[in-house]
Amino acid sequence: MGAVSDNMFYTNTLVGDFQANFKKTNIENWDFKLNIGTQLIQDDSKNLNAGISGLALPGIFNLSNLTTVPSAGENISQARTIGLYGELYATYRKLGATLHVTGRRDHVSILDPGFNTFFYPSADLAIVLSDAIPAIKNNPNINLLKIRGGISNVGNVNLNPYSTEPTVGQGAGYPYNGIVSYTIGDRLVQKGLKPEFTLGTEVGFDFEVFKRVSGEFTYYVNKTKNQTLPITIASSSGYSGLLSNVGLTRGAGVEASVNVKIIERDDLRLAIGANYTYNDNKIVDLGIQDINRFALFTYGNGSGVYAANGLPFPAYFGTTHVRDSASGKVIVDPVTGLPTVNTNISYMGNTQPRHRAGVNLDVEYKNFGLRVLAEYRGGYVMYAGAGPSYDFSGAGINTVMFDRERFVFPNSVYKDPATGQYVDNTNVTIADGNVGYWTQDQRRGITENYIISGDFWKLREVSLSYNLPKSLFNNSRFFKGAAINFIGRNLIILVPKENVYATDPEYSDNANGNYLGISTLAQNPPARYYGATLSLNF
Amino acid sequence: MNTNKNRIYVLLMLTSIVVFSASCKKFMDINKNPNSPTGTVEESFLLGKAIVAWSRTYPAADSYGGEMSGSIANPGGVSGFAALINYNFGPGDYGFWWGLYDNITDLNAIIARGNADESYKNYAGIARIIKAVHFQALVDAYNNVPYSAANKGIENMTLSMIMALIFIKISLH
Repeated sequence: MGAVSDNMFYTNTLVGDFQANFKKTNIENWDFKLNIGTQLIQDDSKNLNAGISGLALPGIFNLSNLTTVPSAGENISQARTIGLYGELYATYRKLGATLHVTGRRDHVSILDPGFNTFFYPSADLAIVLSDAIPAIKNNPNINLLKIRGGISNVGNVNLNPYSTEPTVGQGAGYPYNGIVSYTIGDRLVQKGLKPEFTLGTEVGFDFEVFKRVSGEFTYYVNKTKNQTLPITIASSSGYSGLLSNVGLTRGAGVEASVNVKIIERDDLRLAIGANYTYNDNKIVDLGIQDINRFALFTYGNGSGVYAANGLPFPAYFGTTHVRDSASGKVIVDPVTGLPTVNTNISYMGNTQPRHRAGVNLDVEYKNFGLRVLAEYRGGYVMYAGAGPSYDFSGAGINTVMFDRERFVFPNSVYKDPATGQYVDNTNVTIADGNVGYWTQDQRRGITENYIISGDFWKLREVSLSYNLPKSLFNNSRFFKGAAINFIGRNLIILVPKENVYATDPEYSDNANGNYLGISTLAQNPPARYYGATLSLNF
Repeated sequence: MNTNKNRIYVLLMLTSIVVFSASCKKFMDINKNPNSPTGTVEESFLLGKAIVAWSRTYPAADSYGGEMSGSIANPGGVSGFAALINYNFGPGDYGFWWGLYDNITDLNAIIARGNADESYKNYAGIARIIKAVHFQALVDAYNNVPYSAANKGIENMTLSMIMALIFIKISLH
């Protein structure tokens, strides 16, 4: 009995930089700064593991105390990058304008020759209008007004070493008694994988007026191409996945914030701030043959998180009720009154918030401090994976919608056997409005029953602090000050009515990685946090 | 500003660039996988696994047939969630769809080698028989299945039902 498993991991990153900096100041109101350099990065790692199962003698946990052939594994990797870069700052003092231009050329070992050298430039320009324009400069109410704009094209290799060639592995059950046999790996790799590139443009401004109100605004558009992702392909191709450069994605949005100092006195300070971001992202083109969507995380019936052409990312797809195409109403059986599942999945919504807003309040009164932060996320859907289980067990509030009695399926039609036409259903009831509907596939197998809005307002953090009076420490040789701080996080959450599960959309199923928008019974429940800290200054 | 110093820096940098680019090719050619074989292996090494995979799939096929026809009861008791009860089969259930197409990839490699190389024709003969039995099983279970468009890897990654008179085709191959 007993087992031993040992794992040793070694990782090392070596960075060599050579940099030269040049500076020229005040040449006819121009300042110049130039940095150029080369960089060499080498990443090494080695992982060794060995294990035995079944100890020869009890109590000696050592790999040599074995009765069977030990298991062993090894993984080595090495990657190098050679970078060559330059960066120029040019400032024109008269306009308060700064131009910043960068360029970098990387040569990486991870990609195939011919695709492994890439150049990425960027440029941005900022002009302080409150310095450049005398009318603004002389206006006492405008303290700062700055406009800025930038454009960049950033390259990135998001791959592990040796990913560019498919591998061959020992088949299941091998090696067997000194005999080896192999199977062709299940993952294909696109020939000539390229680095990812993100082209970003942005414009914006910063301001401060009346010495009280400050803020900023930015509008941006990003386009990313050649993202390197493993995608799932039809099993009948003989393979299960393909590592490839996929598509073109576009994200556009705004970021804005305003801060107002309402009261500024020695013993009382009060400030509020608000911020808002809007992000509208979209997959313009997946760029994989004739594939219109591919699955990132799905359940058995195909519902789940997808990346799809022309839709926001990530997109939730799921099953729906079979509907009458003319009226859009659910078709029910003329005898049983039950709807049917349309197993062709359709788009349900995006699972990442489009709107994010935050409000914060800062108050300082004498020795007391109060900070409050509230946030809003909205414009997205989530799949309540616990819903089908609640419906099955009868624990879900939805199941008492019709008092578990017979009911006419709302907003439904049935095919009149006499005329062959769809007529509004007012009298065909579901015979068993209890387990006959709520536990059935016609309820639980339909994703749209469990798609809810992910919107919420949340009181994310409240903290109250008290600084002990300085006079207490006048006689102390060790302590210079002390503060007590009470903090609470995730205190109140407000969700729309349709979120009957009242679950916190920020907590998603961990098992499916970062694909937001899925909550299940298997995840950690949302947590509320209270704490107190005492800090002492020496 | 010390111009001489600057000149030395620039010189050093240029030297390092030249040194790097000269030694680049070998220095950067380190992406050969040291952990597992890549590309393909000698086709004879594939046959053993293909036979084993075949024998590993068929107990599952036995359960599939038995449970579907009701001659085997579900040993897990009553479970409303099983694929079998819901008729909600995925590609991985019973190792049937995916397991067989996966194995056909290896069989095709052996057959292709047999077509090109006379000394491999015995390997290819065995592979053909297993492939025929695999398609027989697939057709038994699913009726029409991808055949001539299947196992094309990167050339056909979407499921398309190009179905031919399958047994005739296999015997002609």
